[in-house]
This record gives sequence, C-alpha cells and structure tokens, in this order.
Amino acid sequence: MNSKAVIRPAIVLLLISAVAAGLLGVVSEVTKAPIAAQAEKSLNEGMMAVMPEASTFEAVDAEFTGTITGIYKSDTNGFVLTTAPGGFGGAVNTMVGIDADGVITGLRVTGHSETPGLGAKSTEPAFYEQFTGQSGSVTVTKDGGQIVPITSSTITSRAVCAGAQEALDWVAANGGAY
Amino acid sequence: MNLILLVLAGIFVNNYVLSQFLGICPFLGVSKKVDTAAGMGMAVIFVMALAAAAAWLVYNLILVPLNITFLYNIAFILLIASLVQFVEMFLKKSAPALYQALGVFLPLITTNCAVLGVAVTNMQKGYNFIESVLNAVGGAAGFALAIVLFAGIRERIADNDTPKAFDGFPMALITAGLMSIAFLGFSGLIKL
Amino acid sequence: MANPITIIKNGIIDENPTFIQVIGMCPTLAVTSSAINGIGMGLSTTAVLVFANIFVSLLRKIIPDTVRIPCFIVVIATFVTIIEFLLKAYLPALNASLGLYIPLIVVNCIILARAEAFASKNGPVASAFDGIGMGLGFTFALGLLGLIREFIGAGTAFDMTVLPEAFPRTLLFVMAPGGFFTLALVMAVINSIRNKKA
Repeated sequence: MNSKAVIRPAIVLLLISAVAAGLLGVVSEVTKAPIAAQAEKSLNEGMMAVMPEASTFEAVDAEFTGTITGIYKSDTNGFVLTTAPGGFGGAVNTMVGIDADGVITGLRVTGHSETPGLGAKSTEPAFYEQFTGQSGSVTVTKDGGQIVPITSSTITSRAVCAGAQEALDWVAANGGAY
Repeated sequence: MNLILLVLAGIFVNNYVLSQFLGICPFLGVSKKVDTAAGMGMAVIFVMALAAAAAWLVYNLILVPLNITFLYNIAFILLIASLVQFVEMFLKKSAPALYQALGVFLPLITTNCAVLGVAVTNMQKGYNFIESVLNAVGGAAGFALAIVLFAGIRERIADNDTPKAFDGFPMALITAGLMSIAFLGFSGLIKL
Repeated sequence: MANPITIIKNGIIDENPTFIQVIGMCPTLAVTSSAINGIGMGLSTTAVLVFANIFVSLLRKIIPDTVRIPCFIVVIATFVTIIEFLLKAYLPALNASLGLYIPLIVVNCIILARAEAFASKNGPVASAFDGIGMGLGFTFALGLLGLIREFIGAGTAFDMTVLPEAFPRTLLFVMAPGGFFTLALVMAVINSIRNKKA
C-alpha cells in the first residue's frame, strides 16, 4: 500500500483530535467552577426549602444505609437527608429535613422519572406539604397512615413515604451520635 | 437475580425505541420487511454488547485514571465508529456467512443513537462491567423485538389502502404510537 | 454564493429537516413533551450545527477524503461537549430536563448530513447560514410539536396553564405514544396541503 496515502490522513485526523482535546480541556477548566457552584446552589436551595429555620449545613461523614444518598447536619441540630427509593419508573429522589425532635420540617421530590401528570405530581405542594410536621412513621392512607396518595399513583406516593421513613429511621437511630 | 431483571427491564419496560426514543432512524428506515428488520436487530445486539464492553473499558481504564473524562463523548463515538469498521472487516474474513446476513446493516449502526445512548447511560449510572454489558444486551434485544414486530405490522399495512395524507411516514408513526401504548402496559412491572 | 435569505428559507420550509427530510427523529420525539424543552433542544442543536458547519467548511481543503467522516465526527463531538458544559454551568434546569439527549446531539443525523452535503462543498459564510436555516427549521418543528403535546396533554402553553381546570387533559400526549401520534398528525396535515398544491 502507498504509505503516503495512509500517513497524511492519519496525521490530519490526529492533529484535529489533538486540537479538539486541547480546546475541550480549556472549556472544561473554565466551566468547572460555575458547574460546581450551580450544584452547590441547588443543593443549598433545596436544603433551605426543607428546613427554613436553619442557615448553614455541613455534610455528615456517616455510612449511607438503604437508599440514602446524602446526610447533612444543620446549625439547628437538625438533619437533611437525600434518599432515592424505587418508584414506578425508576428512583424517586427525595430530600427530607428532620429537626432535633425527629419531626419532618419539609420534604421535596428533587428528581424522578415518574409518569407525567400522574406520579410527577409528587413535586406539587399539595402532595409534599402533607409531610411537614409528621414524625415516627409515615405511610399512605391505604396502608393505614396519614399521607393522602396522589390519585392513580399509589406506587409513587409509597416510594416518597419510604424515602421519608428511611430518613426518619436513620435520624432516630444515629442522630444522637453526630 | 437483579441482573436478569436488568435485561428484562431493557427489553420490556424501558424499551429503547418505544419508551426512550433511541434508535428511531433505523427503526423507521429498515422496517419495511421482517427479514431485514430481523437482520438489523441481530446486528444491533452484536454491536451494542461489544460497544458497551469497549466503552466501559475505555472510560474506566483510560479516561478516569488520566482525569480526562470530559473527552468521553469524542472517545465513545470514535470507538463505536471504529468498532463497527473492525467488526465488518473481521466478519468478512472469518465468518462470511454471518457477514452475508449482517454486512449491509453494520455501517448504518454508527448513526444508531441507541449505541451511543447505552454507553453514556452506563457511564452516568455507574454500572460495573457486567451490568453495562447486560444493560446493552437487554436494550438491544428490546430494539430487535420492537423492530421485528413493527416490520410485521408494516408488511400487513402495505397491502391496505390508507388515507392519502397518511401514506408512508405518518402511517408508520401511528403504528409505532399504538405499539408504544401496548408497551406502556409493562411499565412499573420491574423496579430497579 | 447563494443569497443567505434563500439558504435560511430553504432550511426552515422547503427542506425542513423534521417534516420534509425526516431526519434527527430521536430528539424530535423524545424531548418534545413541552414547547420549552423542544425549543431548548432545537437551539442547542442549532448552535452545534452552525459551529460544526463553519469549521468543517474551513477545514474542507485540509481534510483528506478517506478520513473525512471521522474528522467531521470529532469536530461535531467537540462542539456538543462544549454546549454540554455551558448548559451545565449556566442553564442547569434545561440541562436536567434534556438529560441524555444533549450528548446524543453527536449522532443527530442532521449535523453529519449538513457537514457532508453542504459544509464540505461550500464556503464558511454560506455554511454558517445553512446551519442557521436548518437549525431554525429543526427548532421550529420541535417547538411546534412540544406546544401541541403540552396543550393537549397538560393544558399548558410554554408552561402556563391555558385550558380551564375542568377541561379534561389527554395525558397520553405527554407520554411516549403521544410523540409518535403528534408527529404523524402534523406530517399528515403537511402532506395533504402539498397534495392539494401538486
């Protein structure tokens, strides 16, 4: 085979790839700080929403059990936990604030792949505000509890309850140690 | 047990074509006859499993250690393109019968976004090597099932009169929509 | 060089990538559950399309024919990744709702098709206008589909409720099957208009 016919294309492709990689490296460096800031901002905003009386939060260095994905302690000695219980279409990410007395100060569904118009209603205040003020155990009315499930979306509602329950249980068992 | 569920979820619940809209181009383009649809389906299963394995290795053994994960997109797409070329050459030499059956479909797979989609999903979900490959096999089998069923229906529709405005693509899309409703029945069956 | 306005009009109407050429179907169906998502995807794709077209056109005399497709893909993937970083940094909400489909812009056939069919044969200015035209045609199609789907499925337009609460919503239209049906109906309407003209 003609070596020239192979070498030139290879060099051009290599050069273009090298320039592309260099360019991406620069863009990645430049956007690293804003991306981290955005992630922190949305985490902070979420935590402020589920625990309005607290002003600062610190990540807790503890082993995550079950579907718990994050544990933070507030300056008011409360805890904010993120959990990812299994829903209808995949994991339902929840964020739960629990104060020093083990009472839920707020709950939000931060990410999900539930059915639009049905399970997706878990992000609406009418549903999540039911959790505020609850303690001990949270289940849907169908299971003998206090949370009125979203119409036609019992699985999603149960998942959110399970996430809240996991957070409550963790705080009850380990809250004193941190 | 979970691994079996992963495959089943890929085929029925999170069907790439009918619920996630990946691989629509070949789904609409190569589905006029059941034979060719089956060939395309087999080729996709083959390439997607290989691509998921290769992408996992490249990501975890090269990109992560070198701290250049921002190149993942370029790396994956070049990997898939060259993998397809390589598979084509390899089959041509060592398995002519298989090449006869799958050959014409292979170049088309580079632009099948389900292949890149599975590599990116595996990376985002942090699957291990075995989970990645099984996720790809399940997803690709789901694609194959959908395209074969779809081609079967289209063969029947081709012999019937449809309203003139619906000729061609609109009719195919309505068919795909009805299949998608049928597959909605599987959703929620498997929780991962 | 052809008139820029003609090139743009060509992309939006005569050769509309979605309704006439029927390419780039995956994002078309996947992200159009609302008008804002559709337009966000359309504009992200337009940005990639314009820059990829310009650079492919500038490099067209340097790139050897044998490796042109890999070269195009590298150029496209670079711009897709840049857009992904920018969205993550400055529009995280849009990035979250478009999710997986942002990195998948790489395999959107529209971009490779324009690089191959137009940018590799024309100058950078004409290629930029071609990118704008095709991109806007794509954006228009996605926005229209998104608007129809969210109106029927959720009773909203651009995330604002427009239908009275009592009016029943057809949820199916914001779910996967609705994507297929809406595109089918819009294409049937276009077909019948063209049939009448012909």
